[in-house]
Amino acid sequence: MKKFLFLWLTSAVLFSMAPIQAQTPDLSFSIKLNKAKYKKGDPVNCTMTLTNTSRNNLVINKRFLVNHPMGTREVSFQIIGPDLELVPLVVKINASIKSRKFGVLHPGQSDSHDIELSYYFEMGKPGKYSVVGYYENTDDSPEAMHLAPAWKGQLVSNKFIINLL
Amino acid sequence: MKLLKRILIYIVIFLMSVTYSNSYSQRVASDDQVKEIQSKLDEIKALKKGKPDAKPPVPGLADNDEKIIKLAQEAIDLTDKYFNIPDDNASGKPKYDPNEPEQGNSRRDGKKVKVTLGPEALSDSATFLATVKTHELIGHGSQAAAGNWYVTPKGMAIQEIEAYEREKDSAKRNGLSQRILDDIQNRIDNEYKKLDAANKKKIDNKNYLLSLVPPTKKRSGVLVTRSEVFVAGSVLTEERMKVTVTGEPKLVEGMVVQAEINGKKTETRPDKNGYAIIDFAVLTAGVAGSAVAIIKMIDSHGKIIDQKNTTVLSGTPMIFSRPVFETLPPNVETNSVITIPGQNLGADANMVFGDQIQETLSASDREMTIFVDCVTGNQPAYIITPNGVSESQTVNVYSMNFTIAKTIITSGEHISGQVQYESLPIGTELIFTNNSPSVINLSIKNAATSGNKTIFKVTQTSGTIPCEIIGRGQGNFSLSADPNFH
Repeated sequence: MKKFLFLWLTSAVLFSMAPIQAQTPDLSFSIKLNKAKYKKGDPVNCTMTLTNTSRNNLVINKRFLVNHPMGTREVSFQIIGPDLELVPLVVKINASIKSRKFGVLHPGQSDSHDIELSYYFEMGKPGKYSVVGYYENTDDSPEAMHLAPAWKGQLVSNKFIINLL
Repeated sequence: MKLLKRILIYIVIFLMSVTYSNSYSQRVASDDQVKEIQSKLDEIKALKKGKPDAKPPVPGLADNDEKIIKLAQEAIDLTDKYFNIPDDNASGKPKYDPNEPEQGNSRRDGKKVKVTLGPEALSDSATFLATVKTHELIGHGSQAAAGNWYVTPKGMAIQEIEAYEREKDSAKRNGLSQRILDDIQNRIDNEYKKLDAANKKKIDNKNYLLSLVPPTKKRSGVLVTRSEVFVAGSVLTEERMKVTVTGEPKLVEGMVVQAEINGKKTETRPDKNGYAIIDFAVLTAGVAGSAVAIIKMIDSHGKIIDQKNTTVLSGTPMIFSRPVFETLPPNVETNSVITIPGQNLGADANMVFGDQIQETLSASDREMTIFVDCVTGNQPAYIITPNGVSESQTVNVYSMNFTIAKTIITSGEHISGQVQYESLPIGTELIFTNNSPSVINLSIKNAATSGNKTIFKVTQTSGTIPCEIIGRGQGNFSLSADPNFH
């Protein structure tokens, strides 16, 4: 009984320590920036990719709307600047609360969307930036699309380090 | 003659008001102009749909097809012209971007906005397109022009509500469908529910200004007299922690903060306020489960002035969740340091009392320590982070100032002192402790004395309590006063 209680408590503690799944076994979210070094004024472009890593078809929300974590969105970024301060999002987004862009991802298939990060975020200071993306979906597709229930959950991407010269 | 003149003035005023109200309440664009824009939108719709039933079938065009881009930009330009949308706040012409996943966005460009519109803005009608542009150019454009471009989630929610309200005004003028009006209202409700009670009240009164006052940084008490490094009690492996070094300003200059886990070290130099950020991600590669980090405050000669331990827990901060914090004590003293446990806080968390941001001394995902400095009285308390705003709690901030003319006395001498207090709940007991009973006696009117304690019951929320100190012997003495709230 004591052993069981210990195991239960340990797993509860570990669970509470890892609030976001890095990747689930069925869907992964990754980001890729177009370069590692940027000259002043170069656009910093990022490709966001969802990949079906399961053996089944998955319905996914593929709007890839970027906003701050409290706003209407599927994706948020956490960008830490050269002074270790969080880089703020400076764009105001006008969007429907619910996405109408859903689709089926077959096993192994990916869906990507590009965004110019330096348009959305104030990335003026030279130095090292670390970029991490977070994807979340909480909704099913609109009824009219007649799709199966969508994948729901939160994913955190790989971390990308870039240098602004 | 005089009467005729007065009647004429009334007629002129009446005609002017009718002309003004018509220009404001009616759609600016004529029916023909609306039709011209609508024909472009219909053409876009038809091209995107293609002709699947034709033989051979004609495939639909993508949003980024040149034909669609040209038509979309023409529709946008005509809308500006015919609906007479003011462009004083626009930095360049609003642009169509086929890659924009939604209706559009505004990016601040000095005191103006750069507006991008996506395919969704062109998916309904000419009047809807005009409404979306009103949201961006008049709503967000006037925010940029006024120099109010909030980047906190709370501020962004407030500014979206304001921009949607502008859309509603425009929708009433231009005659939008009930479906779109309902959608705008849903968006307002969605932003509104993210706010705390105090801000909802402001929004109800059409006040969209985020009047938060920055921390006073008026260092006093322990923050000046004690050289200390303030750290959070725990931190996640993938996060940053805010720490603060305090003490004499000269000592703080040249100080270094060093964090160490299992022999791995990272150093950072605090800014002029003593603030520093430690990135634990660079220290915790390979750390599984939990570990202990030692955080040292080291002076310019390499001498360790203070050091604290922090528990490092394996994990990534949950950026999608709004911050939550444990129940605050109902009464908090100004110029005091308090530690608040919570979740989803992070290095950028700020505690707000009323409209005053408190100084954050240390912060991580699960805990923050603040220096309380604000007006006294009952007020909402909440935490803002880059990821959200917490629910509000109510806290009473009180102040207490005990002054004595001097702290050395001779036998038979009388010295006066007083406690000035603000915002203490009625019924609070002020407990005076005589720490030098062999040197002094303490006398306070309407207070009960037992041993070295003298208890005064507060009957007014603010006031002054005079006290008399009588020398029993000669020497230094000390007294303290602490509230007991029961």
